[in-house]
Amino acid sequence: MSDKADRRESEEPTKEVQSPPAENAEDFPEDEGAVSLDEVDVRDLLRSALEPPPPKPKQQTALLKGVQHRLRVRSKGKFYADGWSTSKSPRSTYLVTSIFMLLLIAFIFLVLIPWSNGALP
Amino acid sequence: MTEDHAEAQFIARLVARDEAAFNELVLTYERRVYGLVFRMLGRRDEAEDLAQEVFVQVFKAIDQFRGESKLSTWIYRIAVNLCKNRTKYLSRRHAGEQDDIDAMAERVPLSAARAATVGDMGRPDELVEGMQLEDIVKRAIQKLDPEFRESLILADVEDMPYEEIAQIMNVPVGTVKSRIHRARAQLKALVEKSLGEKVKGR
Repeated sequence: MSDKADRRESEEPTKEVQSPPAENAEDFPEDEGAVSLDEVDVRDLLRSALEPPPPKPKQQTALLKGVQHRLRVRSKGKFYADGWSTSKSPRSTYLVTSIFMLLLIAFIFLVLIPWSNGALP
Repeated sequence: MTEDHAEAQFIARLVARDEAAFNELVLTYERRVYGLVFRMLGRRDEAEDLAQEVFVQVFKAIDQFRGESKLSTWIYRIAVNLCKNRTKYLSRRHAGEQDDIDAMAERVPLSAARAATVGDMGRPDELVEGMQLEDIVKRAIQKLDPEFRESLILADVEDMPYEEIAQIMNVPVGTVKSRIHRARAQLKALVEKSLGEKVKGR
């Protein structure tokens, strides 16, 4: 690419480059002032120019959440309804919540046992 | 064979509307779909919106997937079709407005870019080859016929084989080859013309 650039720098543009009909682009005569690209150059340019911007840190999860939100709204809550299934690991969420609830019930039960003896008639 | 079997099982989960499977699908394909859509539209905001829409359509239509092509091909097909529709819609609605690429070029005209960077770079040809060159290519891409642009992006940027592009675009392989050939010629001519004008403008 830099070789081509050097070549371009040394060449003086002398003629006006006509706007070509696309189909006949390859038939153009070589113009002294025109910039010439081969197929590989064009492909490289295309790839570098169309490189999407790097994703933001939270962009990936944002897309998933956006899709889940749209599906939840359009299905009127049939899909992705409870909010848990939208997390990446719903099983662990269920498990942690279950254990927490068991511990809470056990704690309340143990706290209330001493009070239950004399309180009831 | 094992890979096919695994994909068949995965598709069965998708057809059963298994949300965990669908999450997996989105996470697997989101970057590729977003990249493709961004290249087709050239606008980040539209690309983010449309990439989400692609997956919504996949979710809705997964039971219509017959397995005649790879799942990825089918997803790309949906993405390309949605891009076509969005492009038409945008061209109708924003006919007089500039897109991001135009706006970018307007914000950094050649004269301003030259003044700002000539001290750093020193060589005008490097200036042309830098940011300006990317803008030139982006503008040229947007000027191509939509069908040519799609074929070219799928072939030269996404590196897809002709057969897969034919399936995505629902045209014969020969048509794909012809479109790619003509798209390359169009793009080459447009870029050369723009570069020639920039060089002469110095």
